[in-house]
Amino acid sequence: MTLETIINKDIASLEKESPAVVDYLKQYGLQFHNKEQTLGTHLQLLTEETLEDMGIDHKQLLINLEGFIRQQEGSTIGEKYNVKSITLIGGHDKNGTPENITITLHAGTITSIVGPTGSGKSRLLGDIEWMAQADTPTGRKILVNGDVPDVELRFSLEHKLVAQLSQNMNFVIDATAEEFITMHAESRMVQNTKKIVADIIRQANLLAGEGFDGDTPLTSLSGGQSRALMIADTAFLSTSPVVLIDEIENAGIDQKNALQLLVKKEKIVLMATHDPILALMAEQRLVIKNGGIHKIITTSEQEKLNLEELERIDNKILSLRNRLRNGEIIDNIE
Amino acid sequence: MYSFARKRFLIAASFLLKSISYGELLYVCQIYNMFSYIELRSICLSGTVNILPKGNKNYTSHTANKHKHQLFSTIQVWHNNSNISIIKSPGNQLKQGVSMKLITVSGPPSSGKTSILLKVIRELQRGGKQAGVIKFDCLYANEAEQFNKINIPVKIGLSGNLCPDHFFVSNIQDGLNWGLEEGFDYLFTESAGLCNRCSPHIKQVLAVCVIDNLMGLDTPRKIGPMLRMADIVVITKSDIVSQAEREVFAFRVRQANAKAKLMFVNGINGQGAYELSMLIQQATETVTLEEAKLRFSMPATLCSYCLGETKIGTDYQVGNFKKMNFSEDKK
Ligand SMILES: Nc1nc2c(ncn2[C@@H]2O[C@H](COP(=O)(O)OP(=O)(O)O)[C@@H](O)[C@H]2O)c(=O)[nH]1
Ligand SMILES: [Mg+2]
Ligand SMILES: [Zn+2]
Ligand SMILES: [Zn+2]
Repeated sequence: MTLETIINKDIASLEKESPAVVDYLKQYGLQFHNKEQTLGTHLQLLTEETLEDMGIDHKQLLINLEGFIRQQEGSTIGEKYNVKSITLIGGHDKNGTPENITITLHAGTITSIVGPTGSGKSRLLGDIEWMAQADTPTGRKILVNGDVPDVELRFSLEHKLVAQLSQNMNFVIDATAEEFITMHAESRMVQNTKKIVADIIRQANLLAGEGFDGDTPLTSLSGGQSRALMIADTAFLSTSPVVLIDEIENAGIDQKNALQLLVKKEKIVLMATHDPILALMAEQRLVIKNGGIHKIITTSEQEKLNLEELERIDNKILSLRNRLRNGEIIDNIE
Repeated sequence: MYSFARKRFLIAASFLLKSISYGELLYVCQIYNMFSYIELRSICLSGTVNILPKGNKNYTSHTANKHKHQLFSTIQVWHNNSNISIIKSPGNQLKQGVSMKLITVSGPPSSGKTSILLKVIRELQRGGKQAGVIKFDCLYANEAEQFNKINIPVKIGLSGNLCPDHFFVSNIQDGLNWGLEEGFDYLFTESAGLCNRCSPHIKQVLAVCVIDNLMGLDTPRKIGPMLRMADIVVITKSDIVSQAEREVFAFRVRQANAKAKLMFVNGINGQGAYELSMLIQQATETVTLEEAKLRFSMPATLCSYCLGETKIGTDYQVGNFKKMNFSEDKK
């Protein structure tokens, strides 16, 4: 569907065939009384005064309408931009020392990022998000699927590379979980909204310690429930192939399965964390120091074995917590 | 800094230009790409040109043209009398491209305009550039301190009971002259769009609109030309809302403006400010706003209430007003 075909249709058939377009135009305060007129004629006949009241001019209205049509199509056609890998070609650190590395992050893998605050973790993320081409302070370059990406995609919503999830993020809108996820699904133009929304809420319930249903207002979800819903939503609906998880707390959410879900959905997972259990769940970790990638460590067999031990310790602490909560006395810790 | 030959040329040129004001000199030179802003400054500082800060209102394109010819012939004369041949074609040789870029930044109150400007200007300063800010507001503006803290010169204009955007239009040329005099590389205007209908965006001047994720998902539909006519839309406060809300919000912003560049910038930690500063560097230079046009008309404030009426009732409604229809939908 092009702008031209839409413009040449009469209002009556548009209302039947593309109600979304008609609704979109009504948002600007347009009223269609003569249904036989083509949309083009209708727009041509708008007076200066009406346009002024609408707060838009003729040219911009057509540009927006075309954008809207493309938005609608872009997503029904499906993923035009299937990101299988992101390659990072090293630049230099704050002192100008070259990083001398090239790393490729593949879909469905987890990489953790470690390093003190202010060491350059955000800049690294920024470089990926911006698809840097040696045009940021680090001099790094980013390839998508092995190729230099079109830098104009930096400003395209459908091609935002990074989705973020962090401690401080909360749901702020006044809607129930189901209403909002539906809104998100609609903005993605997914085919089967109902099913996806149900899947997301079910997944979120699997990840959250305590269950909740679709009618729960977003703002009354607990920390763990919100986090679980955010992860499930990102896994199913986010356009971004890279998911950054930033220092997420472990209360009230099954982190292992949360990560697994993202991996299953072919996300490239980056995790800024100093929690040893999370860090060792990754295949590799990037050590950031003084604005540069200082080292890449592949999680060793020994580390993976240690992970089991760590999980045992963690479970022990967890059970101590539960005992405390239940009013028990912690006279022994076995 | 300049070669000796160049310096002599500048002095020669400035002699001839004695009769015109600083603003005019800038205007002539810059529209014809004669030489850089910094060079012009040095001409003026040499004392041979009379500095009239506000520019001359009677300065027409006709006089500009006359001055252009004067400049060309000066160069010619000087060139003929010297055996240094650095100046071949004045138009090209002297082109330096260093002059001021004006950027209008608008957005609802508290959307993060000041925070973003502070971060972006810091990036520009790191690159050795100087920037100034003019802040337009209605009743109160506390920005001066924040900007001064990192050495950003700022002028504040309070419109009182005028719409701040109308106030903006009538003051922007003078503001621009201030910026040119100060020798900024960038001049930003910050104005809080209060009526969601007016917008300070000017054709050919880079227009930035700042909105934040907390405003609610319907906001992009409610903001008029300020958002719809912007070249760059900056979305702030992404650090405190969920990814899903960000995506839906941005989707709606896209529906309100299909062609703007969308940027997510964090006003607190500056994430994204470097990238935004790169875009801002691509702005075109603004030498004068005489004859420039707004991107969108501003509504006439012509009802009796604009003029200070406070009483409610049909008798007091005079002028340009509009009535809602409360019976239309009753069927
Ligand atoms: N969390 C968060 N707060 C922000 C961000 N940008 C601005 N703010 C805060 O929002 C408030 C209003 O910002 P300000 O820049 O003064 O808005 P202005 O009125 O548009 O100039 C301040 O308290 C800022 O600290 C952001 O990206 N994230
Ligand atoms: Mg401000
Ligand atoms: Zn106004
Ligand atoms: Zn009025």
